[in-house]
Amino acid sequence: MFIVAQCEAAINDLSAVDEPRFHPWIWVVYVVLFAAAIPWYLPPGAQATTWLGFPLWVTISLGATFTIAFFTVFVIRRYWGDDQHDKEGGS
Amino acid sequence: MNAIPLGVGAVVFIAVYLVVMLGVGVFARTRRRSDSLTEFYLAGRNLGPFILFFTLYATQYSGNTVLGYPAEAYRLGYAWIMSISFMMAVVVVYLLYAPRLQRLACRHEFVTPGDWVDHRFGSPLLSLVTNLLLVVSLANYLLAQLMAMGHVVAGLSGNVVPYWAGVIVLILVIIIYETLGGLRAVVWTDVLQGLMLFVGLLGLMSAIAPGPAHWHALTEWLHENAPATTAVPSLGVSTRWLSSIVLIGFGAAVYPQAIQRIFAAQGSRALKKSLQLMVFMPIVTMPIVVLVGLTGLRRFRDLGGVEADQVLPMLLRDWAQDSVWTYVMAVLVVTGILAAIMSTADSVLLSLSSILSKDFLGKRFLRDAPGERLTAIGQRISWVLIAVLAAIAFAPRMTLWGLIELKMEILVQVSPVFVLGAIWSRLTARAALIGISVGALLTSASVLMGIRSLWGFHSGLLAWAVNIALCVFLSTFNNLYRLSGEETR
Repeated sequence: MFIVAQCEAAINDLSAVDEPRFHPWIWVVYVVLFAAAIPWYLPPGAQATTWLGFPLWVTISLGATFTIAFFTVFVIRRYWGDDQHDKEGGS
Repeated sequence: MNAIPLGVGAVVFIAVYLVVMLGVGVFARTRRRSDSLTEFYLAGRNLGPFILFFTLYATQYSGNTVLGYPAEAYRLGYAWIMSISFMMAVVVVYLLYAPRLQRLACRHEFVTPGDWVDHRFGSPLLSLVTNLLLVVSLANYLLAQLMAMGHVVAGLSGNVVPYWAGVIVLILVIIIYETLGGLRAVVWTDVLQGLMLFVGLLGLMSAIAPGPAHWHALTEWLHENAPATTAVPSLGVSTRWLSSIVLIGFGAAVYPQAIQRIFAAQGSRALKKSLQLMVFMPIVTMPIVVLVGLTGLRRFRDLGGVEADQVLPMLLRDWAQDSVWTYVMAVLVVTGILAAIMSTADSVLLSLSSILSKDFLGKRFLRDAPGERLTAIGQRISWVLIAVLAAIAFAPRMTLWGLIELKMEILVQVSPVFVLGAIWSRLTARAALIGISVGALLTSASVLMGIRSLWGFHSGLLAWAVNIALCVFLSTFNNLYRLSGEETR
């Protein structure tokens, strides 16, 4: 069913709506998490024990990317403000 | 590509799938309320969270994801889990600029990425250069998808349906449903194609390594027989990992078709919900792709260079002969691969058509033309464009993956205009123009000289760093100069 487009055009002050870019600490956390996903801090060529079916460094990397995903959900919900005239529905 | 003799069952299944795609196109045509540009290219700016999520997923995960990435895992081993990080980086980069861009698109009724560049910078030259780079990289990308279509169909049929016939049949299906329904047809088919891709991947997972015990057995085998694949990666690989996160994070985030989906969202809530789902898709998609490549290593040793690209087709051929269950899975996977390729190709084609009709023609030669006329012209442009690219695809001069790599390194050069332009008000048109031009020239020069990387970083990424540095330095210098001029007066 078609609903008339709800895209709002009535926000006068764009900076009044919160956005992740206004919070520098968020990007510091992202840098740390992406850095944790890359196994640069382990000795190259080393064979690690298997953990949850994968080499330990792979499991650590997967853990870091899981954390990035959940952190992103948190950031979107907490620091991305809604539009005043936003409505549900759509094609 | 080796033959995948999947038989009549697979051909019937795929034929039904293609007919359904055409049916969706016809249905989308009945739902079109007008022939305006917004209606045709942005589905009336009314995409809800569910549709938005599936169209972003199906568009972003292309034929390369399911055909090329297992081959990379075959070559690199577990280190290819880097693909999870770089696909996730794309969503993170959206958080930087999409909130503002989406609101501005609503307020100022942007249809193409060029509308944003015009609005933000007011520089026809910058818009032209940006659009030229977008068109070059998109045409490259579309060509790669067309070639992938031909390879998959030829492989599926054991070359009974030749490469060129595969290309023609599939592009005809795409162009017909797209002409009928515009973005609405594209996103509705994306829902089906995204589901097909996801089900195909789950089928793959169930066939190769459904649980931790299987993963453990695979890892143990690799540890014994190919220890390099399980060892901690070298510093060079870690550097490539970092380079890919930045290159693909910023490059894929400014795909014009992705930007237009931001424009087409019915509001920020829809966009937020879809991105909250999208950020998990690398985790559910990429490990399967990596496990496919590693399973291929276990089954087929010593596939060198380009041969490794055959890993998935070879596995599918084996599974198709194992049992009825694995045969069904193999057919689903092949359809999922086709869906991944088609869903990317249709979006890229629509984006290209919108840029050429609205930005190149509508803003330069047909300034007084009504939107309906530009829409009609855009539809014709799609047909011409696809015919030209199909002709090139019949006699390709580059490999599939060479094309895709080149595309990303060119595309990332325009990211400052969108990302930095949205978040940094002091970025000037002149600085952006010089930055983009230098970045694109350096990238082209490195490709021509065959320099693909320096110190482990993609050469296109280093060109991008120069591009960003120029944007920041020239904008800051320009602003300081202007301030001191005002003080003097």
